[in-house]
Amino acid sequence: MIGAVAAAGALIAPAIVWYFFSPEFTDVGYQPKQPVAYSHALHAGEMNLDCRYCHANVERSSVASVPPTQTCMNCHQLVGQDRPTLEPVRASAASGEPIRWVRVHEVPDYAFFPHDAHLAAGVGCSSCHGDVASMEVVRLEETLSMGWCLDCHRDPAPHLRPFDELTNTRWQPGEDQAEIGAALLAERGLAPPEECGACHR
Amino acid sequence: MRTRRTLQVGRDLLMLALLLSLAGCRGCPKSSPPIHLNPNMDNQPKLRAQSASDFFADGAAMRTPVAGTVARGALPVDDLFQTGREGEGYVVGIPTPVDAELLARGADRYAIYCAPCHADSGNGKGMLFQRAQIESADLVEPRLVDMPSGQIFETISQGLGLMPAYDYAIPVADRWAIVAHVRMLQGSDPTTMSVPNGPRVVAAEGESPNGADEQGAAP
Ligand code: HEC
Ligand code: HEC
Ligand code: HEC
Ligand code: HEC
Ligand code: HEC
Ligand code: HEC
Repeated sequence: MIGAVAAAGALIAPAIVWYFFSPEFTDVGYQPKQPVAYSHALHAGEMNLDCRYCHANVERSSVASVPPTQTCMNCHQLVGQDRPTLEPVRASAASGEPIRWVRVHEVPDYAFFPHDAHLAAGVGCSSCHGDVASMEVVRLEETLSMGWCLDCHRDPAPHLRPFDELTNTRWQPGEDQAEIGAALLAERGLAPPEECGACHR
Repeated sequence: MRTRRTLQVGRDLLMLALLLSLAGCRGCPKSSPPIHLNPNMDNQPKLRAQSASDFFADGAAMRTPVAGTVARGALPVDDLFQTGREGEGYVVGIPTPVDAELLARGADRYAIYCAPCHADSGNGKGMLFQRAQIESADLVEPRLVDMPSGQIFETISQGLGLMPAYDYAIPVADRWAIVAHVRMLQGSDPTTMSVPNGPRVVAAEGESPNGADEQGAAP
């Protein structure tokens, strides 16, 4: 009898650890409440704004940056002045006090992630952030764990796309992605690093 | 007896599974922050871009540069290229070589930063007009066809009236690429407008440009 329980335990304990201790469980799906009811589905999806209109640094810097209030005011000095949902944005523009957006994607401080290098290589936003243009509120779609980084670094071909599709979050690899990806990999001369110092520095 | 015990263990396991399923599922949306089982050095006492900090009075880690600060590489050494002006006058042509690469870049950047308001065609009826009936300037009207390139460049850099400034988002070289694209929308051939080394034709504000722009005259 004790044997049966121990056997069951031995089977279940790893299953519990596998299921619940993995970043697939602890991290993925994180969707904090934001201080403004800003929707990517409306701005980037329905209105088709390009990601780089707001995340303007993403191709030039390691950080993508959440846009300053001024970027919202480019349009919202013209539209929606009377909307209560935009009150915090107006207050921030008037006082100069930044809006305190809650950070969703974050690697630990001992790891370094450069956006510019990945975009220059032709890896699009949705390979790492999912279909943001369909999200009302941004949600963490990938684990951002070291294993996840390395899975792609060891075989990036399936994730490479044409440069004019970088910010199209509905982009899907076609059936011939294997050949296209291999060709792009060679053409762009990419060599994603696997040595520790590239990311831990 | 034995079977009953097994059943009991089975029931307990089932209860455990049910209990755990209450703990949530993989990838389900949740608002509680990620738990890292071994948080060693995840959060170091260093400040990262756009993070909060107790150290400064305004609570932000990033400092606002003192007024008048010039970033490295942003000092306007070549006035014509950096400002579109020489003295009081605007440059008529485009002070950089205009080739297919620049035009492709211009089309790409225009689509990101200008089309939401000015529309792909430049007629000023972009997304903002379709959704909120707010019309932006018509970029293909004769007045703008005749405008010196330097003045369009300056509008992008500094904004004008209700149009915001885009210097924070668009580097100088990309702004000239956009100007070249606007010229193309206006029906001109921007490749003839390049003034890299040639005479720096400059027109005073409001003055109708000559030379390179003439092919672009509106109907
Ligand atoms: C109108 C401006 C705007 C546009 C366009 C836009 N974003 Fe954002 N983005 C924001 C703001 C504001 C936030 C911060 C609030 C939030 O997390 O929702 C943000 C947050 C994000 C985040 C999460 C940041 C974090 O905290 O981890 C990601 C990822 C992101 N955007 C990706 C995209 C992608 C991909 C696109 C293009 C499909 C895009 N954004 C287009 C304004 C914009
Ligand atoms: C390119 C123009 C543009 C930019 C930039 C922009 N918005 Fe908007 N936004 C709009 C338009 C247009 C609407 C109105 C959509 C409608 O109702 O038809 C809107 C609607 C909204 C609404 C919903 C209002 C409501 O109650 O229906 C919120 C909230 C909002 N925006 C927040 C933001 C924030 C925050 C930013 C900055 C990160 C931002 N917007 C940047 C154009 C813009
Ligand atoms: C190769 C994967 C990858 C790609 C491609 C990628 N991101 Fe990210 N993104 C990340 C990671 C990882 C983080 C967390 C970075 C950190 O904590 O330093 C992040 C963070 C962010 C943030 C949060 C704040 C910040 O300052 O960095 C925003 C906003 C964002 N990404 C937007 C984008 C947009 C827009 C694109 C496409 C133009 C994009 N990302 C492409 C992996 C990626
Ligand atoms: C979807 C694919 C993909 C994912 C996921 C990915 N990378 Fe990369 N990464 C690349 C590619 C492709 C390159 C190659 C760039 C080159 O050779 O120019 C690269 C290059 C890099 C570089 C070198 C940049 C340089 O300057 O040469 C670093 C550092 C890096 N990645 C860190 C990370 C980290 C950290 C993560 C996880 C948080 C990550 N990457 C996830 C595809 C990816
Ligand atoms: C492509 C980028 C990349 C490379 C290359 C890389 N790492 Fe990492 N590493 C990461 C990221 C991202 C994390 C954070 C993962 C997380 O959030 O748990 C990490 C986490 C770690 C951790 C902490 C794990 C934990 O959960 O506490 C150790 C230890 C580590 N890496 C060692 C190494 C060593 C040793 C090498 C070289 C063989 C290496 N890494 C190469 C990106 C990388
Ligand atoms: C948020 C909406 C918006 C965006 C984005 C925008 N503009 Fe404008 N633009 C306007 C409005 C509104 C006007 C009319 C300004 C006025 O007369 O008060 C205008 C006017 C202009 C004018 C006419 C200036 C004059 O002398 O009459 C030019 C040229 C111009 N924009 C170029 C551009 C270019 C190039 C871009 C892309 C980098 C751009 N705009 C992006 C809204 C916008």
